Amino acid sequence: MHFFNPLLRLSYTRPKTTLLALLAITLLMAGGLKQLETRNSFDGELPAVDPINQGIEAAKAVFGERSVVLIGLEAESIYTPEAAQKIIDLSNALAEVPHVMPDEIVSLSTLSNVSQRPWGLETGGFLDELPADEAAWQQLQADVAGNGMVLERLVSKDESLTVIAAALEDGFNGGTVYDAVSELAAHYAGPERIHITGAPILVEDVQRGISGDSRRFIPIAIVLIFIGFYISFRRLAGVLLPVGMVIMSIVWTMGFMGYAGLPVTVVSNALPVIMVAVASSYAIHFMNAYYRLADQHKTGPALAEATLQKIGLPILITGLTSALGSASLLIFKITSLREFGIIGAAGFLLATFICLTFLPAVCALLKPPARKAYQSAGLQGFLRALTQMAQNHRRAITAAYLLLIAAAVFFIGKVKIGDDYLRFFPKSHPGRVAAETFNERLSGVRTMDIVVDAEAYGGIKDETFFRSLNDFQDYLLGYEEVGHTYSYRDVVQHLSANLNGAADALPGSAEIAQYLMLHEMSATPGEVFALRSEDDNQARIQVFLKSSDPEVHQALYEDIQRDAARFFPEGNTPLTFGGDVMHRIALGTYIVEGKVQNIILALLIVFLSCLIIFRSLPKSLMALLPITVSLLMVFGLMGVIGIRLGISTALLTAMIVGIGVDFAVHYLVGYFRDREEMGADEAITHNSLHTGQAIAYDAASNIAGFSVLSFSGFLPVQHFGWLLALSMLLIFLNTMVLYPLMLTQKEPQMAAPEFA
Amino acid sequence: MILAFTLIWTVLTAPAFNDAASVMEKHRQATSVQDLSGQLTYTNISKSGRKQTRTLQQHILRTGEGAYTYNLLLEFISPQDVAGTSTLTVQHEGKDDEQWLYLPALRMSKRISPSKKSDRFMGTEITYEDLSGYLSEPLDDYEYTLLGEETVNGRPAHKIEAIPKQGLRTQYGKRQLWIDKATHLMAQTRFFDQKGELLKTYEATEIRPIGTSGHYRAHRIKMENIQTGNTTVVQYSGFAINEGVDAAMFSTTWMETR
Repeated sequence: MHFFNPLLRLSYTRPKTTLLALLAITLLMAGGLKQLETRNSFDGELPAVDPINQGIEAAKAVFGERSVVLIGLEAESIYTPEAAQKIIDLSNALAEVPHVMPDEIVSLSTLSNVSQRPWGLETGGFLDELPADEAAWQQLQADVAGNGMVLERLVSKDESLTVIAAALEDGFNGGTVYDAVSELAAHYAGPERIHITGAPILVEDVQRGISGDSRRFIPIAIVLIFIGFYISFRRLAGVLLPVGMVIMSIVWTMGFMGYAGLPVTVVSNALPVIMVAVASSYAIHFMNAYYRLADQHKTGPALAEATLQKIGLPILITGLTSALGSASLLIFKITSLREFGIIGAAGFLLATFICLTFLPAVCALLKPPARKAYQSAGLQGFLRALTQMAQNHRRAITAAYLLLIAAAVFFIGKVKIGDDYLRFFPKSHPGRVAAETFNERLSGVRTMDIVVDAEAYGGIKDETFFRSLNDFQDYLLGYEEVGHTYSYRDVVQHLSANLNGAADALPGSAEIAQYLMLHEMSATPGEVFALRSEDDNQARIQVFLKSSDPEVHQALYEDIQRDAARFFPEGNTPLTFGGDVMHRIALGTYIVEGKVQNIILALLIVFLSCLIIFRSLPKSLMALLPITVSLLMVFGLMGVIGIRLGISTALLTAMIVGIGVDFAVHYLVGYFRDREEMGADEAITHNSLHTGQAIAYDAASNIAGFSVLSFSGFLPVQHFGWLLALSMLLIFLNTMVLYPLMLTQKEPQMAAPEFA
Repeated sequence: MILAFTLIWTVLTAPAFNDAASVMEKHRQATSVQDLSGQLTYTNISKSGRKQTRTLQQHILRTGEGAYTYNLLLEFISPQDVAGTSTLTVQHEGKDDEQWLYLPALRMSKRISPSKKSDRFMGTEITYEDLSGYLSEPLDDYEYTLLGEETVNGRPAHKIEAIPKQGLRTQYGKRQLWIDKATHLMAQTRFFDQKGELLKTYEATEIRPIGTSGHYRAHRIKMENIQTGNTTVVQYSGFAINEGVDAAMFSTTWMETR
């Protein structure tokens, strides 16, 4: 604090200069807002050295990017002129959509087919044009029904649903694709139902859902928080000053993001909410102290100075510890979480600086308020009862806490890992309806790519390798969650069945090569290169999954890795995995690994910070207690209710530690200050009533604000909102119960307070 | 006054029409042969740069049905595992082509359905419509306009616009042709789709005389699909024109028993 004193003194000795300087900085930082960029894609979320990421990149390098948009056409029967014409038109229209690869659109109207006829072989698309007569319609139906590569992959068994799949080029713009495809769906809908889904659509839905809800709810949350401020302080300045501070903090932090080139992501989207919580927390403690000291000072500068003297240090401490807590996110290997660690740390430091300069500068210009600080009799009564209960029923409360902690630890083991994107949406959401329809009636919307290396040039045409791959694909199809598999094996089998009528016989090497040649002659390069590498030394198996649960994907991935050696010799393994589910599997692994490390690191940082501040091991350990208990309770509750630990809920730790440490530090600093003037029991009661009041205001306004988010129709925002609100309540209660309980118990051993 | 203007306009513009027709007729004559043999190596290059290369022997023989219909036999030479795979196409005047496929592994040929104009020829960026035009420009199906002269790859060429006549089923809304002035061969083509957007470009280079036949041929052609980003490059060698090709080759029996 001594270090900052000359700077902080300026705020009340030269308030106008300070405010002008702050205004200038705010305008400068606002310039950074224009440079803010948004990153929707999950590409680059994983570290380059990660084995799964390397696999994904290796598969991409050989077989290209395979982000696929799916359009489903649902009708009583797809074999009517109207529905069939729409399949043709939609396929053509999709080719015009930006970022769609025109020769990688797979539908009945684009897919090439070879079928046996009495006179020879029919080659060409299933539905290049509308069938001319009844016989042609029947032939089309029979061709589809008899083609294992198409039935249940492109057309449902009941003939009421078909899908048009379009692969997107690398680096596609999700927003542009989403708008264009939605427009197509709206244009062609009726009487047929048009579904749109696929990973690029769902990711964009998630992004838009979060952004939309954030835009709608954050202003309401801010208003509610400030209504809470008014109820707490009963003065206009008590509302306007924190409002100004919060807005400045958000502008400075987002401006910093712009200048630093840190994009808005699905994670950093939560920044405004977090900044509202943290900045308003600093403001509440400052304003609470300001009003409490108001009757002791006659001029604005004197009151501002006294307020800074009293509360400056705890705010500085909480700012630093919160920033360090946020920086602990750097331990994650997921890019957007690491970025948020930097953004949060910068934001908390900036908010601290603004709080300690802006608020005293404005207060120095104001006359000290005439009335004494407002005290709610109800709140005082509640705080007194809570303190007395903690002091008088230590054993019972300790036993209850131990039970709760044991239960929490038990249920933490049941927390599900990874984001199930489908369940982010309400059941009626079109993207979810589409994906569930596809999962139920087709082979599924999520895909895992398995690349098998045949080692030699042209090795995939070798009959021994082909047999191994054939058995391996049959093994994959044995899994309930695998809806379909597709590789060059299916092409070879289909051609074999049509050319020599032997559906079950496995072809020899020469036949395989010639069937593939025939496929090349009738298919687009996109179709060919999706299955085989340039040198025919690698084959890609596309595995369609009916489940969107990342844990199911993870289990399947582990099984396949374990069992691959049963089918392939050493040279062909390990297999390379790609496809959209692999990103999520890797993210899930990193979330778990990073989460454990993050919690340990965050607690360690807070502990070390407190050790420097309090210069006492027991006190530093005490500062950790409400945070640790609250963390256990929140994660235990997630296990009970079934909320998944995903990329957004992973942020909760940073929030709980960041805010929890504020409550703990304010309580402990207040208590030890009071102890300089009074006995232990009196200090506990006095501190619980005075510092406790500020903590209660802080918690209540944040609970009100974050509760609004729980009305979102979008699950991640909903969970984030109410879990944060609940976390606030838990941290507050744990702080207000555990400290009186422990300080009463431990009082005789406690040393006198020493601050750095 | 109107009559005079019309007369002047007609006189001024008539040579252009005549020139286009004359250039195109010369072009058709230049590509017309009794028979042709040679080797070709085609490489399909995907948008992402992945390549597939195949080598074939081609034999072409004019049919007895008309001056511009041909029999076409293509036999794969490499890669080794597809060597012997052959396709036979028999063109008919005013009727669908007949096609057969022979796979050595099956030791039998299969008749395959006639390809549509827009189907890709052997999986390349060249469609059956392009191939047909390559063998013989369908002069009756298009309106040609001479647009001027330009240099293509250092060679002077006539620039001609070809618009399909009403009712013609084609994948193209328009073609721009550059006919080499010296050899009357197609030096460059731009293909536009029905919406008027550039679809493909064709470029012929290494134009050289073929023996003493009096004919010239491009030894390298490149067809690039602008909309998909895929490209096919064909390299020709060992051309022989009008040196005699055995008519018995153009049968399923020949494919199966050789």
